[in-house]
Amino acid sequence: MRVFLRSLRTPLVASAFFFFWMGGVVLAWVVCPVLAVTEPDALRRRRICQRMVQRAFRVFHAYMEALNLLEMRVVGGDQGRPPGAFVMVSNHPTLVDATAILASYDDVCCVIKSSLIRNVFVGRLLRFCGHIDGGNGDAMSGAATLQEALLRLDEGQGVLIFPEGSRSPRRGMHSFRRGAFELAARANVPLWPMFISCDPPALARGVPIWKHPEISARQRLTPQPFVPPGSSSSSSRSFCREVEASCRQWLQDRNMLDHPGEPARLPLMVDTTRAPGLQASVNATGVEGASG
Amino acid sequence: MTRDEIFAQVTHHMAEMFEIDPATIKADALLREHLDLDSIDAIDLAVKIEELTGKRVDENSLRSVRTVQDVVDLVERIANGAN
Repeated sequence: MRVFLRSLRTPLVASAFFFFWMGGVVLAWVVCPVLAVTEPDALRRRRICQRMVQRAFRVFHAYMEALNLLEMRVVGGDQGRPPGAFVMVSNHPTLVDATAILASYDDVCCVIKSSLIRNVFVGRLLRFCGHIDGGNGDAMSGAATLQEALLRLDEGQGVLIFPEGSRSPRRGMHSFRRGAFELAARANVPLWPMFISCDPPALARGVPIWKHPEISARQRLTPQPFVPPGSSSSSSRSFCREVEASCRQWLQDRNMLDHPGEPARLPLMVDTTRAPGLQASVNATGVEGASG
Repeated sequence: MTRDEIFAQVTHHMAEMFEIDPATIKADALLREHLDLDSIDAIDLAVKIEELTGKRVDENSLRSVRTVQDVVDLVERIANGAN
């Protein structure tokens, strides 16, 4: 029965992404060409595209919620948004973090991977929305990304960067790169950390859609207090480390909160120095961390 | 400016900005792998190129730069007004 129920969820997840891509293709290949003719002003065109895509992302998230796949909420609402331009940094536990943030906040451009912005189906739409090519990992390519992001900030847009560079590993986090922090410092705009949790982990890196959790995953966007420009005396490198550390701590606290009963460590807290025989049996159960 | 002059200028500025031994700055040296520059260093370099040429460098021409020679070519292109 469980296997049957689980197998039912795969086509549901697949359908969400099918509609997602279909919507993207229609917007990129039908709406964008019309806009390119009717709206020659790039900034106004960007605004129109951003609003359109925002509505599409809201529908996408509502669809996933209606199918009991994933429920997205912003904790604390929009009140923490800094006035004007800002750099938002976020951890990246799921495939749908950017869609969640862009569905929830206006006037945000996102640094996204190069292959997506050049994608033949949706690339044009993403460029019309003002999203920024994340480059190929080369130094100068990174500089080009930062320079383009500086332009967006000058235009008063928020710029969203996932400083891990890609999706987080399941229940973990890659270390943050300092580009976003340096960008905020150079543009003299606030840095706004956004911490995202997803419980149980869903649409994570390396988790295929046929392993989607059987209960609705709760994706929570938790905006943190923004850091005004100039208030951090440290270098962008150490500022980056600070925000990374607080994100790790936040995730750690969150995991403990979400899983108070698991893993069951209590019965395993055995003084193995006095009962060495237990060590082997504990390890044989395959419980991690039991020997500590 | 001739190519050699541009190369000498670029080498000089890079050695100064990134504290690199000028001898290691060869034409075919890769910025990231050989000279250990990251994107922040590279944006400083891009700003320096703009200072040297007095013109704005557009992002697309930066994206293809990988080696010191590419930097020299870029400066030459911009200086000749073909950016």
